[in-house]
Amino acid sequence: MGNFAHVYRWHEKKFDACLSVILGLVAWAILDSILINNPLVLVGPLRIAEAFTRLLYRGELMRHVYATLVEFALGYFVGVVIGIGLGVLMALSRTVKEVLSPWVTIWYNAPIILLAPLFITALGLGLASKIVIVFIGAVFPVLFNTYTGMTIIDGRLVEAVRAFGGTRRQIFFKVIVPGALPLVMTGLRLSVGRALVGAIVSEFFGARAGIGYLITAASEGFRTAEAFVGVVLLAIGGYVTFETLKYVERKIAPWYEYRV
Amino acid sequence: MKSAAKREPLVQAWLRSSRMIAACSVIVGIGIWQLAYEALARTHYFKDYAIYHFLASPLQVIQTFGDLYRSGELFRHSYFSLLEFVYGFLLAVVIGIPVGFIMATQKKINYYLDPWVSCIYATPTVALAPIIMVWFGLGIFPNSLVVFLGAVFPILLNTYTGIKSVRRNLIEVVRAFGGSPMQVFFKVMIPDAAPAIITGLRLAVGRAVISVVVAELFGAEAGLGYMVYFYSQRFLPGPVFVGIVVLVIFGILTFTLLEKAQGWLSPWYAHQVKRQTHRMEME
Repeated sequence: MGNFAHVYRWHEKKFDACLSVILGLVAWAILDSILINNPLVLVGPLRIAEAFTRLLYRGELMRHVYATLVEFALGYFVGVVIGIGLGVLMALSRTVKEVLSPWVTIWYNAPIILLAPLFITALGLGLASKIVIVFIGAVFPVLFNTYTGMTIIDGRLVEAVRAFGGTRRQIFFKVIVPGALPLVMTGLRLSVGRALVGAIVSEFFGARAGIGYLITAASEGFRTAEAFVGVVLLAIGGYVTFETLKYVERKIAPWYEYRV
Repeated sequence: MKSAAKREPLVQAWLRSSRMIAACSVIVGIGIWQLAYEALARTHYFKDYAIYHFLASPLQVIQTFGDLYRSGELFRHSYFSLLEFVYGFLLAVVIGIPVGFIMATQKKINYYLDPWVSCIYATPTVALAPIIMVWFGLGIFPNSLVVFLGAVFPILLNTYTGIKSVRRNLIEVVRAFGGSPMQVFFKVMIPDAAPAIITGLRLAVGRAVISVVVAELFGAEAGLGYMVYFYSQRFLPGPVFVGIVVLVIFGILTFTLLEKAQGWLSPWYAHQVKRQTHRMEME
């Protein structure tokens, strides 16, 4: 018993987290099945699990997840490539920076979601309109963080390399790229959320498949449990991606201090 | 003989300042947009493609703005959106800051709440908008709830970080000189955490604006999001762009206002924090 107390104290945070999740789910289930018991108002974890297996067996779930994944992956990839490219250009050239920065500020602050209906009328219900919206959501955090990462590099390091006869190429690859990498990774992590919101909301407006489509279709049919399956999937997906990128960040730049 | 240093520069200094370049960039960009629209609308392909159904030129946007303004429609929709924004945001502040504070000071509560907070924070909360509509129907209250969900987590987490990073030695000094817990709270913790909390508020503004719009796109009788959806379903792109412009201006204004507030509330911190929190703002 004393041994257990010791282990508990050592891993107190993890134990408490597990306990909290279990207690929360149990309380939710009790509230759902005993106190309220109205599948329209509140859906408990059991009902959600049931809806999950039902959708899984019908093969519907895979179709929706696959559709969202493709939109997300393509838009995110293009966003990352262009974001890093433009960020590097803005950091290297003052003119480019000054010409682009007002537009970047405007686009970054614009609720791009409002353009979703327009993109769907212009590009159709298919993949193209979603990729554009995901792209716009993903590109700006990457761009901003790449630019900031490259500009806040310690000037002394650059001077040291130069003093020892380093070429411009060497300065770029040995100082600036490793120095900017942690912030670029932060940008990648932050844009996951925006890209996901872009994918979901564009599916709200018009789509044939996808998690966002699943949520709207289910809630319009008052099948709240199925809508919650979509939300839970998003929560898990978002959490896993976020934590994975955080882990990669730590591996790439262990000296770097993280705040968010 | 004139020396090189005395020669008048080709372009005056005030014309070369970054503000001037930014202004020129915006003006030229809008000009290109106008010209491109005129050119595209005349080509055979885009005429068949009915480009005027999903793209408006800047002049049309201005014209539509005037129309909507005169008919009072713009004011009505902005008013409803603003109301939802203010209610949701205030609720997020009222709940986010105390909960963040409690999580930072009570270890046990933090351990229990942390998995839920980080999980919901990673979820795109707009996905809950359709479900909230099923629960609470249309109107200002459910939409404010969506805004609240979007805005509360950045505020909560930044309050947590801010209180966590309050310097221990300051608290100990106040305590050593006989300061009460209230004094520790109001004279040390709040001022030391204020910059981080305001950064949280700034992050929350962006999320709240998106939440207002998404909630209204779904179910509303008025509001800018509703206006945009209404007109885009009728293939009229003008009001869509008007809505976006209004929201961009609102977002930038609020953001700058909070930045000013940050400098005003904690001037000693302003430039130090600017470096520290740069990453956090980029969300």
